[in-house]
Amino acid sequence: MKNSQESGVRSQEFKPFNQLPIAYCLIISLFTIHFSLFAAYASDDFRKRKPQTEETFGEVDDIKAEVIFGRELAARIVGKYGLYEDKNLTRYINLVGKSVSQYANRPEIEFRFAVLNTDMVNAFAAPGGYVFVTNGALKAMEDEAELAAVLAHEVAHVAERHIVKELNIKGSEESPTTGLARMMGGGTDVMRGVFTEMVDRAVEILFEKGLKKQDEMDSDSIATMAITNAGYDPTALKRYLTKISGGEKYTMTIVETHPSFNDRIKGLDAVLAENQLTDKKQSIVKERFNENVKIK
Amino acid sequence: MSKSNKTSGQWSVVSGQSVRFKAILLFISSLLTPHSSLLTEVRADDLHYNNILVGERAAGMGGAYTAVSDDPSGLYYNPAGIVFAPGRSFSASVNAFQYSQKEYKDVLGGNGWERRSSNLQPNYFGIIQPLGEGKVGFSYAVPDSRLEDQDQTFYNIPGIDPSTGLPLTITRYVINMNDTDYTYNFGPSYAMKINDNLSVGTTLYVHYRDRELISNQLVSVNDGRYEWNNVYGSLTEWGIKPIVGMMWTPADKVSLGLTLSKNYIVDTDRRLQTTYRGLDYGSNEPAYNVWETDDNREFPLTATIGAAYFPSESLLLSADVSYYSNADHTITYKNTVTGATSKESVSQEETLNVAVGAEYYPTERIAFRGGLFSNMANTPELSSGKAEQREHIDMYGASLSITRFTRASSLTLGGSYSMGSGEAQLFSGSTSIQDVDMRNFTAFISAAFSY
Repeated sequence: MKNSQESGVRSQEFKPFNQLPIAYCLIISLFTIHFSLFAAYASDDFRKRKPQTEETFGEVDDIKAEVIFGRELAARIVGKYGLYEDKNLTRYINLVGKSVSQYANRPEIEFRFAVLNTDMVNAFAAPGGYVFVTNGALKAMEDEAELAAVLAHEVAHVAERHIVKELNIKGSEESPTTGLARMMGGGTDVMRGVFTEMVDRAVEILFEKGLKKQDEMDSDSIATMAITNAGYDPTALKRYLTKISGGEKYTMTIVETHPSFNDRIKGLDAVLAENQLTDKKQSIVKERFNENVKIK
Repeated sequence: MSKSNKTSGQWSVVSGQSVRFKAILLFISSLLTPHSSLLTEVRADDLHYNNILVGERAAGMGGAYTAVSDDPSGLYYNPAGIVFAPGRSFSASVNAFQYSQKEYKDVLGGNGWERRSSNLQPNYFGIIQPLGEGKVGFSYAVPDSRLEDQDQTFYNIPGIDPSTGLPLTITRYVINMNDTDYTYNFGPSYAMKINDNLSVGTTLYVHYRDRELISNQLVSVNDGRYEWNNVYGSLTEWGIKPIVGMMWTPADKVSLGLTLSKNYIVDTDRRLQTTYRGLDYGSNEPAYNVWETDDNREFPLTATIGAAYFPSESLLLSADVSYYSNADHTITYKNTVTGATSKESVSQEETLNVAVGAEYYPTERIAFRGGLFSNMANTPELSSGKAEQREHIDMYGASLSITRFTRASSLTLGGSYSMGSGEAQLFSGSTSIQDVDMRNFTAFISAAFSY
């Protein structure tokens, strides 16, 4: 028999916690009463660990959510094609882009422009003001007006929140269940499964599906008005689209929702005619373009 | 009633003989005795309280988590902490591989006897959701487990014939044993803030333990005789384990935690069936016995106090001290074949365990954790001149883990190692004491997801 003697002795010992339910209640009550007397002075923010303090959509407004999302999407775009490293060209692109973005009516957003290192003829925009043009597209351009038109078209996508609306990107409290704030709520590093999925969908829109036809047409219209207001040739976007329409094989394959070049050109004709801009002569700035855009 | 009395018919072959031979055969009997000790101790280690570190972050920090507990592991360590869990919903799961090894020295003709256990299983899952003013959770934990699958054969062990006192040789000693022993805790939790500095919470675990032992042993001696023993044992145990916790913030960057818990067993079904044939049975039928009981074990009250210091968002230091009260119980067994009864008293001493842990984030994507912990025996140190003393091994361990955070989840790899040396009495009725070494190793992988 094991420990029979010891156990016999111990069975007589005082056991302060034999009445456990009472002990639990007493201790809880004492602590509750005692500590509830303390003023609530301390925040529990110190409990947040480093990954939890990383910027997320948890407690941000819609604009910041848009920027955070766009930053992630921009990283995907850069990751796919890489940046064309030319400081002078990048500076020039930003100067032109910022000049047309002044007409975007989104002063809360800081637009950033960069060149992607691919011969593909295209341009992209991510929410939050991240705009990219490919060096293939730059090669196809002949003057600054065309560059301004392409950048203005992408700026219009950002200004009109086309992707933001498509994916219902919102900030915190007002978001529906599908809103990113709820997906990211609280800001932990591990809340981003749905966020990643949303970025994936945005990538799919940019690289495969394309935006809605009406979004493209609207952006063309807005871009034409923007470059006109900036002093550029109003027909620059039409000229550019006409030029690259014959080389569509060099652009990405955009499927059913994307309008054809012909549709877009027709749309631009209508915009120009409606605003009496068809024959309006404004600057094309060819020399400065050639001086700064020297894609090999 | 002593073990030797109860087994007098069964183990008559070993009575009154030389200590050495008796020791050898009683070594066998100590493994196979139809006594409660077989099912109440030694295996899924009832002699210690801190056998498996549970949880994702907690396991890496040596279990020093009572004052942190702000994720699903808190449901197990301190439910009051889950109110600080970030995000709306938070789930985590842990899969662990556990390896345990115990070596008794100089017990089989100068040979050591080694026992090993290993198993891989999901040992924790927890989920937290907001509910009203507080947070509700559900968790599942395996705080102790063992899967022992032994196939051992020893040859040419010197001995003495119990009937003649003359030397003989045990030509072959075969031990085949399969022992599975799992303890499960599962149940809901709720926690709420009393004010900005204080929260309280409770977890109500259902305790379920399931053990099954199958053992077959054969001793062949050089004159052609043999001894054989076959054992089948089972234990099913149900109970409840309430955990009451609180978390207090006495100052900025400092957290204190307190938990009280106790396991109440409400239903036990314990059965041991033995079939034994002694060396001198000749053509007689082997002895057959079945011992049964539904008496419940007594568990200690556990009180844990923890402190944590959060000097920055990159560093966390914590420490826990756990007190386990003494707990005694007596179990009465009934032999359903002979009608005999047997009582066994088990005493568990007051025990104290300490754990310290640290967590460091070199970047936003990586976390390293480390911890030190003790796992002290709840038995007294062995005294010379006494028999039937339970083994005493104080263990000390360390743990490490690394977590990689991704956009969608966090993944943690880690492990803990503990070791200790102590003493045991393997041989029933003998006052001899054997040295024993014990080592535990656990490797775990866990994932957490919040949404």
